[in-house]
Amino acid sequence: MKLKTGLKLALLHSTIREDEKLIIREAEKNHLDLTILDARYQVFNPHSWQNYFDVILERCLSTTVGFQATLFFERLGMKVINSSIVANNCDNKFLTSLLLSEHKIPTIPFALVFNEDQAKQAVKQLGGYPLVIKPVSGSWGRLLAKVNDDDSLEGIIEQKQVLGSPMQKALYLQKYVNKPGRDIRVVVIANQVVCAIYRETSHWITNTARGAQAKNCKVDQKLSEICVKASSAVGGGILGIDIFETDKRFLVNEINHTMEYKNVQRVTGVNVAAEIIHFCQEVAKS
Amino acid sequence: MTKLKSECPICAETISVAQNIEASEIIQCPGCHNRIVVSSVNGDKVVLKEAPKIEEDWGQ
Ligand SMILES: Nc1ncnc2c1ncn2[C@@H]1O[C@H](COP(=O)(O)OP(=O)(O)O)[C@@H](O)[C@H]1O
Ligand SMILES: [Mg+2]
Ligand SMILES: [Zn+2]
Repeated sequence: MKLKTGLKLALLHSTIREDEKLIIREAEKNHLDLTILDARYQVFNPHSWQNYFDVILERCLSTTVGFQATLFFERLGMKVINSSIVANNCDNKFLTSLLLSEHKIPTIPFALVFNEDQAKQAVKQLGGYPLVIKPVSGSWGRLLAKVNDDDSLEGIIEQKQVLGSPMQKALYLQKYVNKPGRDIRVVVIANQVVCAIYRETSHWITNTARGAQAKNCKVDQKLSEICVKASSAVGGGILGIDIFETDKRFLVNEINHTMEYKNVQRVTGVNVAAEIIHFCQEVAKS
Repeated sequence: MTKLKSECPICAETISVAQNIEASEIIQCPGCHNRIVVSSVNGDKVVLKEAPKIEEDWGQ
């Protein structure tokens, strides 16, 4: 491939999805020097590693793989997007909530507990049922439970304690928010809103991976402000912010650090892949 | 666009894939509907393998 900028970019992944292909095509179109690295097949040994990149775009499907690889490249002095700090701030939903509340960004009342008794105390503190229990680190709307009463709370906690992995035993609780049949996914790059979609469904879980329909969403001043604040609170970079609408205001639910954006690109017509590449080049040059 | 041909590792059905397919891409076999991963692409030789199971820490 002919180098145009002289910058060496790497796309770090652990499976090529449509999202990664959009980035690869965009890099080809712009004649960029892009190395495609499958993290699963590398030896991350600092004494034998040979390749230097000006920027590494971390797009691993597996959060575990992506995070370890990010730590490695950062310690070798390379820039990774998103950084390990941003990745950790977003991957851990409890930490995201703590950061949002610390920065006074409207978010959903939450608590973390490890046992049933404390869960019941938390229910009272959060103003009663319904509430949502989710894994501290989760995705695609999986392993979420909407809890309507003590009976189901007890059952769900017992199931997690007996059958769950250690991470599933950290019980992250949120007040249930009555959404208007949709939520909003906002793409924010370098602390600027790029575009957004509504995710519409009759189910309370609105992930497109669970069947919600993506529709274009116009971002107004109010929504933009809260997204920019939320982005800075976790450290910026390339982010997908989940927002709930209530009568009074917008609430930030969670922030994704390796967002899937193919549906966003399709329905908004915004070339998100191009924005991602552009941001990588800016960071590489800086 | 011309298509490349390969064989499903599970049901042996002939699968044609786009020429700009990338290694590590996951596709679905039209025959058995299993998830198949593109193990390697070398010129017009595409090797397919059974895709890994979806893990808890995948995706966002
Ligand atoms: N507290 C809540 N109240 C109402 N709906 C919720 C709540 N938490 C999650 N959901 C629904 O479940 C979806 C997935 O939850 P989320 O926290 O974004 O986890 P994931 O990482 O799996 O996307 C959200 O997009 C939303 O539709
Ligand atoms: Mg989400
Ligand atoms: Zn097959």
